[in-house]
Amino acid sequence: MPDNAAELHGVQKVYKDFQLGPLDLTVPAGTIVGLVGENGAGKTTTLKILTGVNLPDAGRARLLGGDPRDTGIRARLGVVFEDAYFYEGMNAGQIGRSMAGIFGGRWDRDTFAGYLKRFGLDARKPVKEYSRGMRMKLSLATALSHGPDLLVLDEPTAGLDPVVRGEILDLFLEFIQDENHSILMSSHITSDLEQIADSIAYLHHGQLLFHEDKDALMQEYGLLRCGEADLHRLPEGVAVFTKKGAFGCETLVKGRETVQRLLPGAVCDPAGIDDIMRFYSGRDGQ
Amino acid sequence: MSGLWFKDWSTLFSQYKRNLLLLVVVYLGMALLLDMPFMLYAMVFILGVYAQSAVSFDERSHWDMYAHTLPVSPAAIVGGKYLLGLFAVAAGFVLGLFAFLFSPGVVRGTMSMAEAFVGMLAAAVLALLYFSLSLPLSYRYGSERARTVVMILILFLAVLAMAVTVLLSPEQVQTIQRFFGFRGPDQIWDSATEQTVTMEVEYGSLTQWMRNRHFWWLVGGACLASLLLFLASWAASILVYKRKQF
Repeated sequence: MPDNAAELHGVQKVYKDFQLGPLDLTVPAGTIVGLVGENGAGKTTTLKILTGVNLPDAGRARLLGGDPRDTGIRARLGVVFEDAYFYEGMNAGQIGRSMAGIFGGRWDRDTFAGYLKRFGLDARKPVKEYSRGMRMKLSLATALSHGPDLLVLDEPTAGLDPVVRGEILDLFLEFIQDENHSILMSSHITSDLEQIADSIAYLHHGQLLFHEDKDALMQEYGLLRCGEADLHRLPEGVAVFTKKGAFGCETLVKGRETVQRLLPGAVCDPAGIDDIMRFYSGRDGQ
Repeated sequence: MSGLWFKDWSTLFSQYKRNLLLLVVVYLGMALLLDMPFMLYAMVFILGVYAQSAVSFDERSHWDMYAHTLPVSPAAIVGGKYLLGLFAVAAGFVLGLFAFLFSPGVVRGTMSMAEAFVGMLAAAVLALLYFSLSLPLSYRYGSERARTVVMILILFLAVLAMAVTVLLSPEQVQTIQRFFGFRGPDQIWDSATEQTVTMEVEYGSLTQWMRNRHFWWLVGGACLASLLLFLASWAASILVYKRKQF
């Protein structure tokens, strides 16, 4: 098993109105990497290149130590894209039979049947009669039943109620119990990533702003509330962006411990991923 | 490949089960009960079109993007569709030919099975031509736009064929017709002289055409050309599919 389950080196993709990269990103084996970013930041484009759906214009993608277009490598990959799947007139039983033909000996019928039972999915019911949550569960059952080493998930919890989201997050945590398993998951629901991710990669306007250990990130970034004069006491580069209001300033700071030491009277709470995204996009919007 | 094949069949049957059954019953019924043999030719063509619509279902569910993450090659994905098309046309051909055995014309003896066979071959050639043109275009432009482009292409081919006949002199056209057996000398009874005379006439029936061995060259050539076009289309679709971006 390679050290990294997935790697992007200097990857670039140029569209008429958008450019992704140059991008370097790694998914260390045995970890969950959360990919965050605003709408149109390039998350899905990144996942498509990584999984071999699209080729990069420049740079190189490596998946499980090989080429993403190699069918042998893909046999060890489980993917869930938001809207790309089997035709909704098919039922879970037919999808299972089809995947058994596609994956051959790797496909485990019992595992698939077990997931259907666990999620309460009727194998004879057409997918179009499933709720959104049920469809996502079926997609995950399909992605997991051939024993993949890497799961690549595009917005797997979007539009789902907290109960279903909880079930799905539990499933990811079960999957990651095996140290050879890894997950790369994009999501707008940052609270989900805060629960399960080991590291967070933040894409902003097609560029990777950071990819850091989640706990270190939560530790490092803070939301500082203070007067404008106090901000001048901070070293350069600590304040990422400041929003000025009638009653003072709210600032995203990097290096919370430094801030607390320099401004002991100010309030500096840990910043969540949402806060970090909100302030970074505010900074670039100016 | 078996998984892809099963997926296409399941998709088509989940959507068209009743539709297909109705089509076969109505077309067979009209051909056998109302003595409309051309419905059997039409059935071959329509079955080919049904197979082509598997691409539309893939588009609707963004299947091709998903398929790019599975351990299957573009050649296998595209190949499944071509085999499906070939199978649909072949099934329609066999079913139609079998139905001809019970058609009023064949039962009464006014139509031979050889005629039915040539007619079914022509329908299969047309179905394969449509399939061969529409599949690479569907992969390139999407099935909705491809349908329009194919219709324009077929219209263009028809206009081209008409233009050729206009450009040729009547003598040249007659020479070609004579060569393939569409025209030739025939024994005709002249009531004025009460004698049989030999005259050159234009043949209007398949039975007359089939007497000329060159006509069979034309039939064989058309079949061979359609198969070659089918294979070329297959190769083109693989190329288009490999370059497809999602």
